[in-house]
Amino acid sequence: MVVLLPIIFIPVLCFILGVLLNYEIRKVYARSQYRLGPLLSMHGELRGLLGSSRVLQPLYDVLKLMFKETIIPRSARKGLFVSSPIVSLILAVLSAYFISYGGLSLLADNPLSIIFITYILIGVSLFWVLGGLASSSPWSVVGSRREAELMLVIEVSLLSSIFSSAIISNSLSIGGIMSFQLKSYPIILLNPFAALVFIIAVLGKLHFNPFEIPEADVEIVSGPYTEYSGKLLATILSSKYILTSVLTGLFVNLFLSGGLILPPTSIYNQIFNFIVFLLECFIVTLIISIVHSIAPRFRIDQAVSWAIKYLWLLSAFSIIFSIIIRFILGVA
Amino acid sequence: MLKSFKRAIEALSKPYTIKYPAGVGVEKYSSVPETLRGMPEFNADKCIGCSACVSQCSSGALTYMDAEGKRNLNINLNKCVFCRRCAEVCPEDALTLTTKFEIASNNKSELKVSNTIELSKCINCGNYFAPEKQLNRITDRLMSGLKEAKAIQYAQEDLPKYLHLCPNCRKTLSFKLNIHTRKHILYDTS
Amino acid sequence: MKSLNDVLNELGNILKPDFEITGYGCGGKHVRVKTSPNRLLDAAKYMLSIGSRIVHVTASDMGFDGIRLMHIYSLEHIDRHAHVILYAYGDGEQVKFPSVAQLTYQANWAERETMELLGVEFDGHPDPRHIFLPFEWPNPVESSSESKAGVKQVTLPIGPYHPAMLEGGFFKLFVDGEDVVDVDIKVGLNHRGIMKLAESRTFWRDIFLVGRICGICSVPHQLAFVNAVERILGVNVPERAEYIRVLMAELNRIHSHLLWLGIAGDLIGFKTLLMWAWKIREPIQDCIELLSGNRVHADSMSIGGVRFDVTKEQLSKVESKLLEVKRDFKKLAEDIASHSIVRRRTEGVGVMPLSDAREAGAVGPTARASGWKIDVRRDSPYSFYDEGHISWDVVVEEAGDVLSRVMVRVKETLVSIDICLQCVDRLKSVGGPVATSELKPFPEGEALSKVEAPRGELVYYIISNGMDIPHTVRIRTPSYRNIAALKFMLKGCRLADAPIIIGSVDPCFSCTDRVMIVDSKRGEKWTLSGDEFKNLAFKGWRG
Repeated sequence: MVVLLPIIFIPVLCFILGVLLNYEIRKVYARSQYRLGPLLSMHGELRGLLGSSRVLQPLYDVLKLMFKETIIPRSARKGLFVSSPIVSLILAVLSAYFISYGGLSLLADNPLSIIFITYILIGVSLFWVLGGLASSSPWSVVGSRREAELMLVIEVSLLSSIFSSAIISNSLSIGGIMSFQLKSYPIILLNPFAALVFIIAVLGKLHFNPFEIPEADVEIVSGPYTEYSGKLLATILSSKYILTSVLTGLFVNLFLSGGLILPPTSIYNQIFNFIVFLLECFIVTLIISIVHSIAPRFRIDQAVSWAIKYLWLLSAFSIIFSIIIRFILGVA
Repeated sequence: MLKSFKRAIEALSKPYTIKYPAGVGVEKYSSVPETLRGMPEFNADKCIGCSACVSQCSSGALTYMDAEGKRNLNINLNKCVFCRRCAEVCPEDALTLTTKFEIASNNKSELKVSNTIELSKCINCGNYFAPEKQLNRITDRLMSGLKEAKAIQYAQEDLPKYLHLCPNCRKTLSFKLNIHTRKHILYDTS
Repeated sequence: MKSLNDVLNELGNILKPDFEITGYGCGGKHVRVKTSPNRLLDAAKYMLSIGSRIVHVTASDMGFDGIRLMHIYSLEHIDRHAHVILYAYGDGEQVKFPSVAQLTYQANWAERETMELLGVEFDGHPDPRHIFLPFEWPNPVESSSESKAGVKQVTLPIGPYHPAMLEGGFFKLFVDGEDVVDVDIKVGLNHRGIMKLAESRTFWRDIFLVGRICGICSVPHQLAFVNAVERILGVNVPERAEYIRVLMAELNRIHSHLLWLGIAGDLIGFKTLLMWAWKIREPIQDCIELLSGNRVHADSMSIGGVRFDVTKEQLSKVESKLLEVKRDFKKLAEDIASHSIVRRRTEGVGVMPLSDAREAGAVGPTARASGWKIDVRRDSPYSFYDEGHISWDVVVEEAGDVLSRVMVRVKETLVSIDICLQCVDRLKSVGGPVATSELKPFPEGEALSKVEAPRGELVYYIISNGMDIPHTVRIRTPSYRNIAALKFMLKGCRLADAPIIIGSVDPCFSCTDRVMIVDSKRGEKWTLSGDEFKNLAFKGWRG
């Protein structure tokens, strides 16, 4: 029974964190455009007119979709169409277990957690692509093709930045990387290039500008998700929220020492670490949201050529740099 | 891209959205200019029921109906385009466009502005033909515009007798009552 | 360089003996020439060879005389205001004319519209399909999509329902991977029958009808209509009214270009630019509301003047708002022009060289971005745009791609703000009435009037037969030409560029669809199949 508690608790925590981060993204995005954004509480005079409380907007979106009709196109491959979002949600939840939330984790101390999490993260995007292909709509086909092309260039950079951090800390487990940073310095100071590559890769994976290409709503009407509605769309949105918090948590774990400022000996230290973890997540999301706001969308060929020219170069350089840092640290 | 970044950061604390409806309390609607063309409104004292507005309405929203001795002027706000043509042509300035723009309603029958004018009867045939106020106004305007003494005298004699005749009766009785040429007056030199 | 009289003499020599000058308009510069149907092609060949462009091809049913087909040629490169309106009467029941579209693409859409409007046939038209009705009318539509050249292609429909377009238009793109191989454009989904409605209402009510063709360019439509009516009547507009008209027209242009800048940003994925540009646009809307009473439909024109007067405090508020807009917009334009990703998305995309622009008959900023210096305010000045009253410049760019179209509109906005400030200045000192007091009964006559709408050259042709209801109202909007010119720009582009190319000509589908099928020759009843009904079903309107 005690074992079940973290198994249920961690995905729920991840989902709630994802909702909060998504709310922050939308709020900062709106505020940078001179707008107000989703409101947490209604203004005073309008409270009597429109009711007093608001639910967090991203949570409300998912809940609303659960009550809507799920339409499956007649010419879609029904099995793949229905199962792809579910599998991608399961994989996203699986990847949530490998993150350490400021000290709380289930599988972050597994000696091979980096390898597991990279595979699972690739799987989430892959099943979005499969769902789009099964939809039998010209828009989803174009969107899936774009997502597959984008994955090719983005996953390499993601992998290289994760492995840069693993090389420096000489360990393939997330827990090990975090304890290395507790003893030494946060890896963002030791190898800032890897952190930069990771942020750009996160933009690509979560479809934020300038990599909003697979979901470009002006050209292809939501890309792979065009034909989804109702509960299936809610599944996709939830997997997106969980992926947001997983990737942000992964960044904080790998590069900002996962909130482990004080050694996790007493309960007060652990609470402090958790709060620092949340704060760092919010700061990272702030940066992501501002980049999302000030950059227009690349065209897919421009994105691929830009990524190969600059991003891959930077990733290769960051790996070499981390080898050098490891050597220096090993000698010292 | 750096300049956009600076602008985005500056904008974070200065939302341009203002609360609807643009202010609270006394300042509500203060940003709405006086020249706004909103809901039309009749001034029942000044309206004489001439229906000049009906003929000029550009969308057919203004209609009139004569029934039971009254003339009903109706503005159907569903069709009104708030162009202000009716207010422009009204000879008495009885129709104005207020600045009220929140006229949405759940009830279609609420979206109507109307005015009722009494009609007067023809003294010959007894049918209702024209609004009483319009005939009074014609009298006032005519009397204030005439300058020659003889013209004023003729007008004062004729108007009470012949003004309240409907167009049909006026046509049929014109020769008998000699109101269309006053021939005998012209040749009278006394 | 020849003069208008030389051109007319040569034309008379070519068309002997079917040449008769029947009337003049606009101080002798609009020349109406009557000829016979089978000489129309020779006249077209001559006019195109001296570099004139076809403004419009239209027809009108003149009762006993038959159907009159009019070709309107512009000779503005020879002389200001110079136009030749060449017409011919068709006779009999089966009316056939030779088609000018086989010589130039400019007349393509206009002749298809006339075919639908009056049942006229054009011999030799390269593409005699319907333009407003479904292509396959009256046969039901087939469900398969043919592929061209045997290559397996996907047909991607942009429209009628598409997030890229605020109104309904249908672009059938034949794509091969990410490359667009061919495009088929269908308009007519927003069709409300305005030209027919205008022929059954009095002139005064038509002013308000015509202002509601389009919500963005409401002022130029009313201005062109009122100019045409004033030319028929022969009244002069007082000075103060002209300045107010210029002020309203330029405010409209600024607001339209700022709106377009936001939409263009949205089409490349830069939603933030949409919000920033529309924030800057708010003071302009406040100005329009302050002066005229409505943010969208200003309804400011009347026959012989304007409908309201402006007070000194309104003018000072307008001036302060304009200065604020100028300051903010200059900064925004600099920020955007130097944004690296914006340049990547717009530079070299959707190129239309000058020769294509002339062949397609593009107008307005679309043509000026390809290096073609045409602007109605310079070529046929109306109101007070001539040098004696307001000084301003025509903005021209050379490259012909999407970035040039953006820069043309940005620079034009700054020029418009200057014009507005000059007008505000003059209005403080010029007094007088704001509407003419010459009242006349309506004579018989016809008039052509052109106005520079934010999207290009807007043409009105009105024929009056002495009643208070016009006999013929013919409207040619600039989007009509620009959307037809899209065919030249979209071939060979990438799929991701299609929305921004379509958006860069600033298509206003509400303006394009205003023709009514006045079809007394066909039978009254027709049945629509499911697919045809789907295509016809979108009767939204803007504004």
